[in-house]
Amino acid sequence: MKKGMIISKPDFGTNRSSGDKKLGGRFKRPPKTLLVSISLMAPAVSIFLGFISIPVLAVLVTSLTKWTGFDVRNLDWIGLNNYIDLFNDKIFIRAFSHTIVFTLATTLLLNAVGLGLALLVNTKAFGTNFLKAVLFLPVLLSPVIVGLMWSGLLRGVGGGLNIFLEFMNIIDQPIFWLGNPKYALFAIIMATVWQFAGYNMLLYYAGLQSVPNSLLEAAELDRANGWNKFRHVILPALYHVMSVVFLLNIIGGLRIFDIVYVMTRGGPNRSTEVLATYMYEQGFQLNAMGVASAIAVIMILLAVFASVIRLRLLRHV
Amino acid sequence: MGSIVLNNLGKVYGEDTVAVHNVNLEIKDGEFVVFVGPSGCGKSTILRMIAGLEHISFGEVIINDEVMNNVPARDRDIAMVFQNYALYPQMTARQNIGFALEMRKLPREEIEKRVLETASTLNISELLDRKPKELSGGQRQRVAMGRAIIRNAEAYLLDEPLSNLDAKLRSQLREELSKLHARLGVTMIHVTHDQIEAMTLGQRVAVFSVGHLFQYDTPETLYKSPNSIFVAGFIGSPTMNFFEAVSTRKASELSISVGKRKIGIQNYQERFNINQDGKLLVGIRPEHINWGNHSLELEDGFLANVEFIENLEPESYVTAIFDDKEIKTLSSDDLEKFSKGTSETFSGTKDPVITFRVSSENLPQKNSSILISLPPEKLYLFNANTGQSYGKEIKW
Amino acid sequence: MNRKTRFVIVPFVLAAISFLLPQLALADSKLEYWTWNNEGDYVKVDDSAIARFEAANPGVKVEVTYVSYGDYMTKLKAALAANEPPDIFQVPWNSGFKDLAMSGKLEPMGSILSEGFPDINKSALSFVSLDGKAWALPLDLNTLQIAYNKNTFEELNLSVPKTNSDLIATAKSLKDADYFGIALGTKDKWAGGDTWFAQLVYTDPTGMKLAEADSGALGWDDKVFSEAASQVINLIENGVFAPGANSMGAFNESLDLFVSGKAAMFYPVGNFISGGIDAKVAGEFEWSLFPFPGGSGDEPTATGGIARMFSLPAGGDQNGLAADFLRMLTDKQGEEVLVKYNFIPSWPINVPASASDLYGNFTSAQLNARSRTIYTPPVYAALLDGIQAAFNGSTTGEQLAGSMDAAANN
Ligand SMILES: Nc1ncnc2c1ncn2[C@@H]1O[C@H](COP(=O)(O)OP(=O)(O)OP(=O)(O)O)[C@@H](O)[C@H]1O
Ligand SMILES: [Mg+2]
Repeated sequence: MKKGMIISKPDFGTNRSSGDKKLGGRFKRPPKTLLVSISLMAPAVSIFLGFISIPVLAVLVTSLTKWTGFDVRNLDWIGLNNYIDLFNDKIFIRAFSHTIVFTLATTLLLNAVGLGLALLVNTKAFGTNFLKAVLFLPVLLSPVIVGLMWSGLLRGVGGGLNIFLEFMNIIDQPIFWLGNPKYALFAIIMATVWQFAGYNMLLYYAGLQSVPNSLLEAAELDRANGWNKFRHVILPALYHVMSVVFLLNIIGGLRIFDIVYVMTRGGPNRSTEVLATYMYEQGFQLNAMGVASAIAVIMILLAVFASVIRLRLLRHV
Repeated sequence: MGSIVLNNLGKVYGEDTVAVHNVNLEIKDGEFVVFVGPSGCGKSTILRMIAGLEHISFGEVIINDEVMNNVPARDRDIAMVFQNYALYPQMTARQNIGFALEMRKLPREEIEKRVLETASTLNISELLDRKPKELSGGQRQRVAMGRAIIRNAEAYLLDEPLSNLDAKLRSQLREELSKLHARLGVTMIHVTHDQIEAMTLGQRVAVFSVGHLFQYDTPETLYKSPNSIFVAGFIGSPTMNFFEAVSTRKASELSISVGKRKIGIQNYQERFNINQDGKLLVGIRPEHINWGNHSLELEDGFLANVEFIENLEPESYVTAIFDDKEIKTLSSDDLEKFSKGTSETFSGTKDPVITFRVSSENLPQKNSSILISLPPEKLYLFNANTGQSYGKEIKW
Repeated sequence: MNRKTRFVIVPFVLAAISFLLPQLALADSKLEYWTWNNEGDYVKVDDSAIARFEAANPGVKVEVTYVSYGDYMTKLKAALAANEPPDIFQVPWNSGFKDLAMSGKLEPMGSILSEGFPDINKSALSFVSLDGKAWALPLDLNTLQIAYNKNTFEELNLSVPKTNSDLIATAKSLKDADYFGIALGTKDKWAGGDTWFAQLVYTDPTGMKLAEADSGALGWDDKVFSEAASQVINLIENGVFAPGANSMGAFNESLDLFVSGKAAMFYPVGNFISGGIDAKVAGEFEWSLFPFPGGSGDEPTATGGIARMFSLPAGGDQNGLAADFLRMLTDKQGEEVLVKYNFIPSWPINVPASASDLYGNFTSAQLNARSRTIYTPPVYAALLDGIQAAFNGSTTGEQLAGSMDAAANN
């Protein structure tokens, strides 16, 4: 390109002496639009700063210290030691893997059950309205209540499940579901699925309402059977809803706390320890705020990772 | 390929919303039939009952001599093109077209071969790897067509597939559809509410209104011998003009007084079954009206004032108001009443008005006074109460 | 606001302010008091002290804030970190106390306790002391013992077990008669840990090694510690405990087993829970207590510690008044109230003749009660995990002590 072309000053026909002014005018404009865009972005940015990044930053900073939580002046900078220690901490590794197992299991089960229930309710057969309301009820309960209910149901002596199994002659000795490392995590997964299946059902039910009826009819005429209609019409129409539901479930699973705390306190012998319960123990029982913050940062990273994956996957739809 | 018979077919929604009344109709194997009628008249409902997507309230749908009432849609072997195309959004055009065959578990190579054939028939071979959202309306319509015609179905049902398109594309696809039918020779039912589309496409056209089948015949017959005031008004553009009149029979002549004037129809018995004197409705198509300047003496002319000219090429539409205010012309509201069955009271238009078609090379002056003549041999006569035509059906 | 309303409102506001100002000035001297004991007899003890304190100090109000136990440390930490601590606050008696005492946020209590307070028991004082300074006022004490169903014991002709082998034999007789042994809920980990402290009483007759190990002078892999764990495992393996300990909470599912009569014994019981048990048993059967037994030839001895204790903020400007309030809890009248509600003061008292059997038992057990505290949090956590593992049958005494030692050295 030739030098003169770069400027490409528009020729207005008359070469007025106020050329400088014009140039000035052209350069004045950007700051104005910048100002406007800043002021338009301000609410979003300040919400982000105030409610998200400042607390996250605070946790990030704390995770680099050996703070006990009493006095902010006694911050002991120890760099990445908390993180290094965590990855050498067997209990943390267990809590981490339990969290991953719990998150994957609940997410898969919740989606399978929630979608199944949504399809059932969506048949609008007799009684499904009632079912819809009933299945949503557990969602309204606090996880603490749900934990207590399930603890009662799974009690070794006098628990509903054991009474039932004994009655059916399936067992003759009570099984201590929550006292046995083999069953405890599974029991918590079940309780969580029980509580939130109705939530997923409702989201999927809403999603199903947007499945175009004519597509289902077209598939019917194309001689698709139930499964093929589900696979080729319903599922693709639910793809966006599903990605949101998956993300919600995953994030919910990563930060699971109440129900574990109530049902097992992370025990027996750490067999149901998850990141949030371990964080609680470190921060509030062992006064190791730095370690607790490091766990929090790891949890945040996992959640961010999940949502990045979601965006990646959605890009190809 | 198949024939379709509708036998007293009816549809009731809910408790008492009757959408379709006792429709009787026969479609021959390989015929191209168009269902036409105003919005909400039950065209889609009938189509969906044929396809098996809608429960049949009463009557029968018979395909190839077999009653289909209790045969599920998937086993009726009917292909349908939906108004909104209903293409699977996540599939490419290729997958959309091949889907029905895939569901029938045809071998992969066979499917691929037939998809390519179909695509070349429809001129969409280059679009096969695009998804529906990457296609234009007309292209989508063709993919939807492809999805239907790839199957060897008994019949192909098309529910207003052209209604979403612009005028040019619509006429282009109309033509292609015609050619396609000629080539494939399959039974097709095409639904539209556009009478021009109906007239140009259909071998036979069924005209519906509020759930009733009014007339089912060739386009020419519909035009020349409408069986009712509704069909007469629905077919043709601009709409036929209607006047209130009184008839008197005199030997071989039928004398019709319109306002202060009388028009005589000679040998009326050849064309009309009319056995009484009295009130009736007279219709004449805009293209059959003659006019002349005031100075030109026209036999039995009506004096009128030119109100409005719609300038088109090569023919324009002229609207004029009769000087004789005793003449009563029917308004579109009145025609609406006939579409629902019968009407005894007409509100009429405020001024007696008439529309006619003239060559754009020879237009009257706006606001000028002209003479209009209504050629007796071009008049249609209708029962003023029932809207039924007095005309004898003439096969053209 | 139009002009007229302003006209009316402004004088009204001024009047209100001038009326309220003196009130504010008066109410300014108030004592903020935090506790989590918002039910039962502790409230009566507090109320009585507050009433007497406010009568003696006109113009000073004690404002009680109940913070649930679950949130207590979080909120207290926040208040301390923000330098806005309450004037008097209950402090939890668990492994976290050490961090609290070391935080520099507590007022050393030595000089305060030397004026106008009773002679606190040495053992109690040592519980709240770190680095040779006392950091809290221990108000009352508790002991942990085994509760047993007297009716069932009589029915089966069983006597109170004095040794572990007695205990094993008792559990066997109970089992033969379709009863469970000791109902224990180790889901709340601390209750499981107490079985170990109970055995440590006997494996370490000196009673010194716990404190030594806690201060780092002794390894946790010392024989006395692993032996205590081995004893607990031995009891578990011999069916002394009701099954499913790890699935039960300390005072709910496990206590239900005892209350319903299914289990003939229940552990751990101190005076803080005896009222609750009485209410649940509702006279269905009679029950009493015995200390957790040990090896043969050992005198059965209970473990115990402090029930409630209170601290003052470091350099608090109301510490004088606050100390006066604490004196109301510990003076003669305060002592009477504590005894009336069956609490065991942390100083020597004369048990009134009218006191119940159980109270007599508590106070006498208290005289030689042994510590049940590890002040090094990771070590305590390792112990509790180890006991849960023991109840799952997946550890040995050596492994358990070894993991405590590893936790200490980490
Ligand atoms: N599911 C339904 N429930 C009740 N009434 C219905 C239902 N579907 C259609 N109708 C009614 O039945 C009548 C016929 O409807 P239909 O869809 O067949 O009309 P159409 O001729 O296809 O109209 P359009 O040209 O606008 O598509 C209408 O009056 C409509 O309101
Ligand atoms: Mg329709």
